[in-house]
Amino acid sequence: MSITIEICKKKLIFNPHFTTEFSSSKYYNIEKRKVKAVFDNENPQIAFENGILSAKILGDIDHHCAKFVRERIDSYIFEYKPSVVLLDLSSVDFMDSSGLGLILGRYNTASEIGAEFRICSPSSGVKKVLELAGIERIIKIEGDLRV
Amino acid sequence: MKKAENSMKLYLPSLSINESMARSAVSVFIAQLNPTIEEISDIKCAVSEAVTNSIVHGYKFNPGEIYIGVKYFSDRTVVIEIKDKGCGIEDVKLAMTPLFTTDKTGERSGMGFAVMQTFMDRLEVWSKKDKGVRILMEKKLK
Repeated sequence: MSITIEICKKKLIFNPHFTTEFSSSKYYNIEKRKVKAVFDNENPQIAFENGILSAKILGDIDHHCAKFVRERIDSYIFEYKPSVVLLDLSSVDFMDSSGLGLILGRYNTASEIGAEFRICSPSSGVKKVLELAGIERIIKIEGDLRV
Repeated sequence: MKKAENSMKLYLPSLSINESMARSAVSVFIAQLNPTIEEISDIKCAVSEAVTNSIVHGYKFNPGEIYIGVKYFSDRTVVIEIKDKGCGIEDVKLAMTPLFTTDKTGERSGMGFAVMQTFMDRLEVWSKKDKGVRILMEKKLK
């Protein structure tokens, strides 16, 4: 069973047009590079194309789930060495200070391999926490990048 | 002493999976007051911070019990009390400084108390070393 999942994950990453009934696709417009991202079904949903690694986090970000999200994103960053890491927060309704730790930690991981790090589509509640910590001073926060 | 209009008590084991349970239970209880979405998310955030603190710093992931008490009054003031019997805080003032954290490896941001202070109207913290922590938060809803 675990082997099947692994094969499926690779297919999704290398072939962006490979879709299953679980995966969702989305277009991002990053510096005139239109990127079609096809996501697999785990949290966070990861897609890689054109040097851009997009990670779409689903549901709440708290201390409990931050651990899994952190490990998954980091493993993909080190595996694919992208030039841009994009954290899509459009499906996150709730985030506490653990999310700040997660974002700053991923910013550091991305910087380590020389990648640019961006956040997009935070909800109003998430934005409030980001603003409280002054995240926008070091990380670029984009509105909706969907095309 | 004013009499509370309604109250709730919740005892939870200090498991990180209960963080979402704690904030959801509090938000469902205060939903009786018909708060705005912003007020709900502020309170959820503050509760989540306090409970996470108890689990991560108070009990250091060891088994323990967290008490969450919520009361609201006729003037729409919500009072939330969160207690643990963990290791306590030696210097409360230092712990409440933004960006201060004792956990250097776990990617904690050190913003927990700052979030509670910003999102609630009043925050009081009592603690003694090895005697646990008691947090009292208050927010007046519109």
